[in-house]
Amino acid sequence: MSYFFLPIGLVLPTACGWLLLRLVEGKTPVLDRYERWVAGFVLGGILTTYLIFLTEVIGIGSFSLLSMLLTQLVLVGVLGGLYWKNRSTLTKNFQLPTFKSSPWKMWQKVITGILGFWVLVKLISGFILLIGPAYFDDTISNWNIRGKAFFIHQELILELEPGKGTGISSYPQAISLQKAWLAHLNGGWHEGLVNSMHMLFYLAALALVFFALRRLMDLKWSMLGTYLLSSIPLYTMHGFVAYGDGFLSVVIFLALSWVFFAARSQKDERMTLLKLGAIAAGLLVFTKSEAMLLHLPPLLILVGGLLVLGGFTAAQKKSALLWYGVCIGSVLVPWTVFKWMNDLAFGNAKAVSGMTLEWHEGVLRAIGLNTLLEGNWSLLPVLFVGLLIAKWRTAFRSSLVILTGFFFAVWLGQLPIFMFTSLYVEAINQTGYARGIIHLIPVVVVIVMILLRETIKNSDQ
Amino acid sequence: MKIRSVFITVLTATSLMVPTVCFAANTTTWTLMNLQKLEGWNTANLTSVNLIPQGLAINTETQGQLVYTSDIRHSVDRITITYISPLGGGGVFFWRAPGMTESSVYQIPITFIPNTAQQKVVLDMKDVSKWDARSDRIGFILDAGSQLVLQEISFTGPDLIDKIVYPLKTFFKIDVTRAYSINFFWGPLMTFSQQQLDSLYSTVPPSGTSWNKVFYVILGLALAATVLLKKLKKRDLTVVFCILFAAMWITYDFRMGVEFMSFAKTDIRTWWSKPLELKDYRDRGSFTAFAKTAAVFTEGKDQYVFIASHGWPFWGSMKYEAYPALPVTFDSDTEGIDTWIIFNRRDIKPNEEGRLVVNGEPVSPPGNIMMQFEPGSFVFVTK
Repeated sequence: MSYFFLPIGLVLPTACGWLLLRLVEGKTPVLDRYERWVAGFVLGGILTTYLIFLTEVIGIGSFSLLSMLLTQLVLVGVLGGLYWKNRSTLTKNFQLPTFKSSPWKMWQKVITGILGFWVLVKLISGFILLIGPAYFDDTISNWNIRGKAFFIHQELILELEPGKGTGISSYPQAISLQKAWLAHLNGGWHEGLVNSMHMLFYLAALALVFFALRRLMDLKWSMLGTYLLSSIPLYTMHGFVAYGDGFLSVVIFLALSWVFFAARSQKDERMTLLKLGAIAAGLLVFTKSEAMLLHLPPLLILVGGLLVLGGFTAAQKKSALLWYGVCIGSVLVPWTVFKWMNDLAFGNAKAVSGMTLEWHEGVLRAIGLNTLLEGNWSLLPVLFVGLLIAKWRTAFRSSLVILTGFFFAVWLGQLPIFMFTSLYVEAINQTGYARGIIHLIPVVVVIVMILLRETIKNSDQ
Repeated sequence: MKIRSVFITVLTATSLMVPTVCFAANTTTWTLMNLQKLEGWNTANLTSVNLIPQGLAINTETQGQLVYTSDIRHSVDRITITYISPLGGGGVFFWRAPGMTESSVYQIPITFIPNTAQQKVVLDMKDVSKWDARSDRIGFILDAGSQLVLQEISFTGPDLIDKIVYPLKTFFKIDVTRAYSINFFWGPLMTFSQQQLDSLYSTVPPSGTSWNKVFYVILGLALAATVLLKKLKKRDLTVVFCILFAAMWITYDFRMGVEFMSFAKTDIRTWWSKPLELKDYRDRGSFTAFAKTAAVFTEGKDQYVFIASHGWPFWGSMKYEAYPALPVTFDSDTEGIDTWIIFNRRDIKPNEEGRLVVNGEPVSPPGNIMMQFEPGSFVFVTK
């Protein structure tokens, strides 16, 4: 019965996200109508929780049911009003491109059916894992306990145990507040209900990768790419546990893929995609701490590179910079000031300041084992590297460099952190390195699919 | 035509793998007879060590060490030591398993029976759980007074059939959900004997070899063949290679999907289908059910005392289940706290005065056990 509150609880955040995206698209829609709902669900959840957080911090709201509801209703009202006002200009729909494709053969239908059923079986298994008692460390000590604290105390609690520090409170509150919202609707903390949203993040990742691929290739290839993502073991596991890494991967994917598609588009479409990318980049700040330090800087460098090399007019550059500046600034500045005022750490729950630099043996070996000899990534690493080598021109000398460049900037950026700082323990114990890869998996899958399709296409010719 | 090509490619790739499976020796012998020079061996504190045609003659008045830098590349379940020892001797046979520190070793006792004729001592390693043929140091610590001529040591592994059957069996040997499952999966592994298979996940890391290596070898060979044939303009096998890759990918997905299903099945069997008092949750046993039951006694309270057999993971989990009530340790200030939650501590019981006793010391005011969950696990409330 409690699970009925999941769809009910998603209505307002998803509507907010949908309205925001549609308004930004304006006369030039660039999202498929289903894609917009999925992206709206992901970004709307962050937007509403961010505003709920702000109302609490500045003292005009709280984390009570009524206050959370009112904040969301006001936001829906404002965005809905704007939509209503501009409805005459928001009538156009975006059509995904059509590709010349051979008709479905019987064996293709059979394999698709079998794999579809198999994915469904895994999802059911995953749901059983997800709704059980809290088990994994960060669920217990971070995401869920903070949600429970917000739900019970109905205010922002930074020290869960008085006098024992604010460690995990340095993380943004988006996920925990979404859990608190669902618990309020249910009238009590229900482990299965508050955790089930993590599977929706996973499904959102599958759907958004599918739609991204559909812009570039036909239905069969897009479905293949979606299956590929669904069969990465550790990424799938993160769809079945109450952690924030799968969620972060979806927001990174949105922020980056919209820049990538902007690079491949022209005129108004290009600007619309950049505006959407700016919104996702802004909300990225309020997902997990590492987003601000690891993902936002390379993303902004790539956007800067695109603006310089992409043949934009001065007015377009100014507009894009303004969008990115306002969107990121409106989250980054309040959030940074809040952290600074409350003496919260800037890092992945561990302060980055005061770390000494020294070489730590064994890190590269642990990374090699995790990447190549364990069951975490299936055969993706060899497929990815093989295709990068085989199709290096496309990978590094086309618009795809936005995705590959981002991957390498983040991945290579993490390596020195593990090799030279006290966070080396996270790599050697395999408690941190793989999480960093989880964030990048949807991006990697899209790169792989683009390069794979090109390889096969060339082979057919 | 395409299916035939796939079959040929797979067969070719597999057959190239076969020599390592079929013809790799399953016995490694270190012979010490008729050697001109002693290589790979190190000795320490042995009174006299001489290489003679019959073997390595050792005579020691003090306890000493003889060690070989090992590089055995197959599994071993039987070790045969051939020697001559008119006066006998003894000590321990030791090995340094992968991952152990420089100064740590595992060891088992060994005795050299006095006899003027050649003798053999056979060590059955099947039931020695810590034995690992991949050890990089293997040797003896000989007792003072030992005298022998060491002739040969042979390491024998499972037979040919085992080498084929066990890796396949182990492919589907599934781990259970553990705290590390959020960070990594061991993935499909290979073992070569029943003993290795049975104890696969009993150690961290497990005593198996990654199947990924096999996948990589097959893919590498298939790729090389594809590129070579294309360069020679004989055939373009790109599509065939892709199909081979897809088949492996799906196999891998199936293996890992089975792991998820197994996790879920275990949760259903041990948690969802049981009444609260019989529930077990993953590797935490009855703790989760206990914590949920005990948390009820903390409602409306700020703090409670929590004592468990281990800190992690019980402390954090109890704190989560009972939140907003917070746990404190028994040796902190417990004044005014009336609820004591004890998990898996059979040594803690109320004394005649009704006070809980920890390590012989009464630590609580008098009270009563309000909920006995199982021996050593209960909720105690002071009067």
